[in-house]
Amino acid sequence: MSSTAPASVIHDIGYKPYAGPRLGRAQIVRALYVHSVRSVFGLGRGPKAKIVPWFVIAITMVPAALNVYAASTNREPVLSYAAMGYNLMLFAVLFVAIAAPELVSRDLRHHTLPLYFSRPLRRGDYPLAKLLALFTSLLVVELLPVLVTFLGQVASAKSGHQIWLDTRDAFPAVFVAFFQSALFSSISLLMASATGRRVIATGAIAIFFLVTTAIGHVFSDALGRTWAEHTVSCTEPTVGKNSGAQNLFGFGGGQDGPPTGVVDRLCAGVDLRNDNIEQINGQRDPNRPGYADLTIQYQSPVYSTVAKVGGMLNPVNIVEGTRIWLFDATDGQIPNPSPLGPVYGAETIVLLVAAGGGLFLRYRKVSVS
Amino acid sequence: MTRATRAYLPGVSDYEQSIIEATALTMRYPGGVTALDDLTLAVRPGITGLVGANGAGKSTLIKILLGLLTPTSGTVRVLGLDARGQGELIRARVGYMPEHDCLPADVTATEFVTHLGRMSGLPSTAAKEQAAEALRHVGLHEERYRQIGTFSTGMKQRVKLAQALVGDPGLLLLDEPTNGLDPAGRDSMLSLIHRIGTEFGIAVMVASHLLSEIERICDHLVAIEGGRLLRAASLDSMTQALPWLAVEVDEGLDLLEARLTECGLTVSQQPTRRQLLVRLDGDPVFDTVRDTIADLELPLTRLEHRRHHVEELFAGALSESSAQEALL
Repeated sequence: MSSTAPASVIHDIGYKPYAGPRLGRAQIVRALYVHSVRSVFGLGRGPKAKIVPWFVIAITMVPAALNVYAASTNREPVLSYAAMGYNLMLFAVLFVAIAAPELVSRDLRHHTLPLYFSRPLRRGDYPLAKLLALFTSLLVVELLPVLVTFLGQVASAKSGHQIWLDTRDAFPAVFVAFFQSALFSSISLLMASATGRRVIATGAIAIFFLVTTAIGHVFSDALGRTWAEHTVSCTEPTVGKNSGAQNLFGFGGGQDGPPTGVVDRLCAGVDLRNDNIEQINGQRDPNRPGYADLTIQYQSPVYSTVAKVGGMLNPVNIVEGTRIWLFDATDGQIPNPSPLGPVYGAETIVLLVAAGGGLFLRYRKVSVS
Repeated sequence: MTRATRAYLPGVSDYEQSIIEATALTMRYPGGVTALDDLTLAVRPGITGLVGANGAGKSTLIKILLGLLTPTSGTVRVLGLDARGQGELIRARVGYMPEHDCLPADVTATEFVTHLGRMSGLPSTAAKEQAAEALRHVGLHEERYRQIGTFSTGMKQRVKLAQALVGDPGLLLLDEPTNGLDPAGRDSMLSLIHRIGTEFGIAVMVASHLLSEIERICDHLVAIEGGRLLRAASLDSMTQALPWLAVEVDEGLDLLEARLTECGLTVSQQPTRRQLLVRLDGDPVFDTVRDTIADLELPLTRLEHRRHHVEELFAGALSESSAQEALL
């Protein structure tokens, strides 16, 4: 404390009118956006506000770091690009469950909104800045492990072609991160904007995402099996006599043919005794010495409609299903939604519009008094 | 148009540019409630009191002035800007202090006012400077790095005023600024507003349901009731109507009051200002007052020919509309 007068005394230093520049609405929205991004990461706030966001970032760096190590030692990544968004989803939920209430519930609780809306901002500007702030923050958090993995791969790459392949592999991860961030941020902000109590908002967001994920899991496990046959012509395999009649199935997926891995290994002459194949019948190709036509009978998973529809209950599964559909992916984390792929895609868009639109509607109703 | 507005309007053009100009302003809410009914008023620079009971339409008027509500009919101009289409520009130049609590507890006064300065359109550095200035002007210079949650009610009111003041607005709209304050806090808030309105040269509109309070600092008064203008006038314009003599003595106020009453004068005491108002019924009043003070040997500090005691004017008008006639 200096020796100046106590608080109740007005210091008589005179009033200086402000003659500097005044920014327009767009720049005010930008300022609100920057302020919001900072508060998502707890910057400019107490240490308590930094715990969760930086914990999430640290955790997502673990698989990324292992990926870099794997790349440097020429091994398969611990967590593939495509699986990242899906498997780190829990931390994304944790991130938005804390960040969304921080962004909107505080202003509701303290009735600060009238102060915003009595300024140049329009009704839609506030939710816009908040939504963009949470979206980009989560996007950065989700893309960070992708980026680290990518840089690790590039650093260990031996050719330009490999870098290109790697870039192509990374794209689905960017896709998942983008849509997961968009869905997570709009849904969680909509939920948080319903209450001024942060604890309740955090709980509601966490419960929503976790419960729908659990339901999605239950549904996607409801799969049946059927028998399928596949004929392939390949170099006569040198397999043991009884090797084909055992349970051989057990790895890979796919609906329209046997797992490529099985065929490759069979043709490479591997003993398939331990795999999940029902029966293999072979015939030497009379026209091509050394070649055989193999008919493989195998057990194939058939995803029931329930399994496919179940994925639509959860934002994470919706994004994953959309990815499987759009990229025709075989490395999906959930049952292939085909032929419901377009429905997954449409649902992604509908959910985005509904949650985002709901958020904007919510702030159109806020009163200023 | 009410009689009051008609009586008032012809004078408008003689004054300087109006800060607020409302013509035939009507606001009907979808539910059918009429909040403002054909309200016409002009507010000139200086401090204007907006008086009305709760539900008289003060808040609705403020929202319309900020361009947040579109009136059903009529026109409004604030700082020369049309509130219908230029709300954004108006809000950039108008500081608004809401009636209710609106402060987060877990940020410092500086952070809070700086952020809202940015929301008013100040660049980053300017916002910091202006926030420090605003907090200094409201007397929170020492406490500016303290969390708002630790502030007293009076200090919180000052933070609310500071956030309205940040960025040098052309007009301040203050909604019940003395709400919840103790008498001392009330006095310092009022003198602060008075200082802003006079020394800072910022036009101020103070909404209050307590006429006695804002009457002390206002140059003009606007009274509304049921969404209609009851009376709008500058305090000066009332001097001719019923002149009063303000007498200020350092001590012996009660004694003087008693003695003057004995002499048959109409006297009322203004406790907040420590002065007596003596009604000027005729020329002898001056002599009587002078002689009485001389007899009592009281230290006279001020003898002022003053305007009517405004509270009485408005009190009558507010209680029954028919009293308007008498006031005009």
